[in-house]
Amino acid sequence: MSMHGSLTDKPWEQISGAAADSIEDKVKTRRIGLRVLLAVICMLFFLFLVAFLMRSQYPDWRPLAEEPSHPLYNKQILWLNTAYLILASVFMQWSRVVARKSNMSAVVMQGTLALAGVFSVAFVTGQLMFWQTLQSRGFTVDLNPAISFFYLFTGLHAAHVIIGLLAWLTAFFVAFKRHPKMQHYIELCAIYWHFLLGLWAGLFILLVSKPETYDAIAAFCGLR
Amino acid sequence: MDHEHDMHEPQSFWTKYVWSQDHKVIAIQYSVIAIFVGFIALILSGLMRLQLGFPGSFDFIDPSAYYQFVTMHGMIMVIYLLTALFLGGFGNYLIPLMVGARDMVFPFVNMLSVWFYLLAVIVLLASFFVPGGPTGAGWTLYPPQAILAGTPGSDWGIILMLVSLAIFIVAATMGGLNYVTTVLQARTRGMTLMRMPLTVWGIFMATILALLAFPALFVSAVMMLFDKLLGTSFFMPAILSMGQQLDHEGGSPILFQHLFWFFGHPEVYIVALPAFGIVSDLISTHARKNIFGYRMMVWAIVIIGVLSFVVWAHHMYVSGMNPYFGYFFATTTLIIAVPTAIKVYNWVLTLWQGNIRLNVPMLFAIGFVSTFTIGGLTGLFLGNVVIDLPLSDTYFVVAHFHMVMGVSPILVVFGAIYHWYPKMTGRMMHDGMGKVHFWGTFLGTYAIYFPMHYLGILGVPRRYFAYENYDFIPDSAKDLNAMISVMAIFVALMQLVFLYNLVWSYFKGKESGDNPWQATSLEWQTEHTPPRHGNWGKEIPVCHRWAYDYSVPGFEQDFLPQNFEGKKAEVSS
Repeated sequence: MSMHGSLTDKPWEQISGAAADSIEDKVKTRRIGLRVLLAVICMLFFLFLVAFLMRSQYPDWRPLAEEPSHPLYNKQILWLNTAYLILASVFMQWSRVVARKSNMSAVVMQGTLALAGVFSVAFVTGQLMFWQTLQSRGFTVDLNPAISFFYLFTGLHAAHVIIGLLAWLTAFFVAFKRHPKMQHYIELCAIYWHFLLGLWAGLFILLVSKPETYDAIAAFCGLR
Repeated sequence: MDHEHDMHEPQSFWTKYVWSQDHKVIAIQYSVIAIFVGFIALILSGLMRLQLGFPGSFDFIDPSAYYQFVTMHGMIMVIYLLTALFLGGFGNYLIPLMVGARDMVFPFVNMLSVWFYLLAVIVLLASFFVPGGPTGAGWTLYPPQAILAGTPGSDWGIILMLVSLAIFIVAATMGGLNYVTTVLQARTRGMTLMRMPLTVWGIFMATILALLAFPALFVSAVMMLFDKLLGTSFFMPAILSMGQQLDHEGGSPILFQHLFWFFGHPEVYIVALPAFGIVSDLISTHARKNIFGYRMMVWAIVIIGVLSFVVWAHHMYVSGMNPYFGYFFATTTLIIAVPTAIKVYNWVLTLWQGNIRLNVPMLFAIGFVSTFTIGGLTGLFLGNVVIDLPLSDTYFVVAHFHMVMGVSPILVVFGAIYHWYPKMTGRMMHDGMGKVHFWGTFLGTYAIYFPMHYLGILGVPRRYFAYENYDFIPDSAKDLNAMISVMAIFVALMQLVFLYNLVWSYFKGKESGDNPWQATSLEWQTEHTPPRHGNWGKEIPVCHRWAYDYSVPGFEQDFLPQNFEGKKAEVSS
C-alpha cells in the first residue's frame, strides 16, 4: 500500500469492528510499523549528514578519496562489499517474489532467503576487513574528521545490518518451518534490506565525493 | 468473533506482572520507575536550594556536588520523568483504551521498551557510584567542557550519561513505533481521527515529535562519545587544558549546540503536547461541557508540533550566530504563540458557563492554565533577541522554563493521576489529601518561581554555586533566595502527601465504580474496573460520537458515552 494510501485508510469502516484482528490487517500494521521505523532511521542519518556537511566546512577537513595517498582512493574492497549487499537485496527480493506465489517452491524460497543472509554477513565481514586495512595503513579514527565520519557511518550502517540479521534469523526460522506467516516476514525483511542498500549507496557516494561537492551542498543549504 | 480464546491471558506471576506484554501493566511499570526517579530529582533540587538559600551552611555540598545535582536534576526531570511518564506511562495506558483497541499493536516491542527504559535509568543512577560521580556539565552537556578535566564527572559520569541517553532513545523509539501505529491502525470501528479524545491527539503528536527529534540527541551523544573515547574532533576545538595542549583540533562546539537544540526544543513540546491534550479532557469532563473548538484544538496541536522543529536556535541567541538567523528564529518563536494562545482561549471558553465541578483533577487542570499562561508570557520576552540578550543566563530564564515546562506539565501529571487512578485501581484517591496536595503545590510553586523573575531582572546569574562579593546583587536578593528555598522544601514535602495518598488509596480508598467522573471516552466504558487483559471482554466497543457529548439537550443524563448509539432522548438512567 502506498504512503498516501496508509494515511487515508479508514480502518474504522471495517465490518469486523476490530481493526487489527485479521491476518491481512496484522500484516498492514507491521508494514506501517516498519515504515515508521525507517522514517526514524532516515532522520538519524539525515542529521548525521547535516553534521557532516557543517563539519566539512572547517579548515582541518581532509578529503578521503582525491589522491592515491588518501584512505578511500582505492575503493576495490568497498565495491566488492557493495556487490555483496546488492546480492543480498536481490536474493531477498527473489525470495519475496517466490513467497507471494500460490504454487511457490519452498526450497527456492528458503534457499534464496538463506543466500540473502549469507551475503549480508559477507558485507559486514567485508566492512570489518576494510576497517582493519585502514588501521594497518595508519588511518585511525582520530586522524582527521572525515575519516572519523567514515568509521562512524560505516559502523552505524553495519549495526543496522546486524539488527536486520536478527529479524532475518526469525524470518528464516519461520520459513524453515513453513509457517503461514513466513510470507509477511520475508516481505518485511525485503523492504528493510532495500532500504539498507539505498542507505549504503547514499553514504558511499557522500564519503567519496569531492570537497567541492560538500562546499556546494553546504552553500546551497546556507551552512557556509 | 469470540476473543476469549485468542487473547492468551497470562497466568503466572512472572508473565502477568514482570515480563508482561499487557499495555496496562507496562504503563504502570513505566510510571512507577518514572515517579521513583523523579523523586530522586526532587531531592536533588532540594539540596541545590539548601546551598542557594543558605550558602556555606551545608559542608557536604561543594561546587562539584552542586553542579552534579543541577545536571542530574535537569536531565532526570525532562527526560526520565516527564517524557517517560507522558509517553510510556499515560500513552501506554490510555491509547489502546481510548481508541478501543485490545492492546498495543506490537506488545513484545512494548515490553522491550520498558525494560530498555529501566536499563537506561539504572545506567544513569549508576553514575552516582562511579569514581568522580555523575557528570556536572549541565543538562545541555555542552562540549568542550562536558568531557574535559575540571568538570565534575568528566571521566565516568559523562560516559554513563551518554550511554544512558542512547539506551533511553532506543526505548523511546520502540515505544513510539507502538503508539503511532496503534493510533493509525488499531482504532475501533467508528473511531475516526476527528473523534479521538484530545489526550490521544496530544500523545500521538508528541510521539511523532519524539521519533523525529530524539535522533538528534542520539547523533550528538554518539559523536560526543567518539570525541571522549576515541579522540576524534567532531565537537572539540584545539584546546589548552591545565597547561597541556590536547590532541583535539578543529571541532565545532556550535555544531553540538545546533544538534542538541534540534532535539531540545521539540522536547519541550514532547512534554507539553500530552499535557495540552490531557488538560483539555480534564476541563471538558469536570466542567460538563464540550471542549470549545475541538477541530481548532487538534490543528493547534499539529501546528505547534510542526513549528517546534524550526525554533531551536532561540536557545542560542548568545552563541554569536548571524543576526539574520536570530531574526528568523525570533519570528518563528513568536508565531508559535498563536496556536498556543488559541489553546488557552479554548480552555477558558470551555470553562465559561460550564457546570464546573471542582474535583481534584479539575483543580490541577485550572492550575495548569494559570501557570502555563504565566510561563508562556515570559516566553514572549525571551523569544525576542534584544530582550533575551540581557536576560540570558539569569534566573529569569530559570523561572520561565520551570513555570512553563516544569510546573505546568507536572500539575497535569498530578491531575491525570487523580483522574485515572480510579480506572487503574478501582478506588478513588482521598479527596482531602488531594486538595491539600494541590493547594500546597500550586501556591508553593508560585512562591518559588514568581520571585525568581525579579532575581533575573536584577541580573542574578544562573548556574552559580554562590553569590559572594558581587556588588550588583543586593542583600535583599539573598533574603529572597532563602525564602525561595524554604518554599521549595515545603513543596517537596507536600509531595509526600501525594505519595502517601497514592499508597493509602490503593488499600483504603473509596470504591470508584466503572465511571466515577461520568466521563464519555471509551476507557470509562470497560466491562471491568480495572480493565482486564484484552480490555473489553467479548465485544470491542463501537464508537458512535466524539468524546465531548456533555450536557446534550434532550437527554436526561448529562453525558453520552462514545459507544452510546441512541440519537434521541431515550436514556433514562
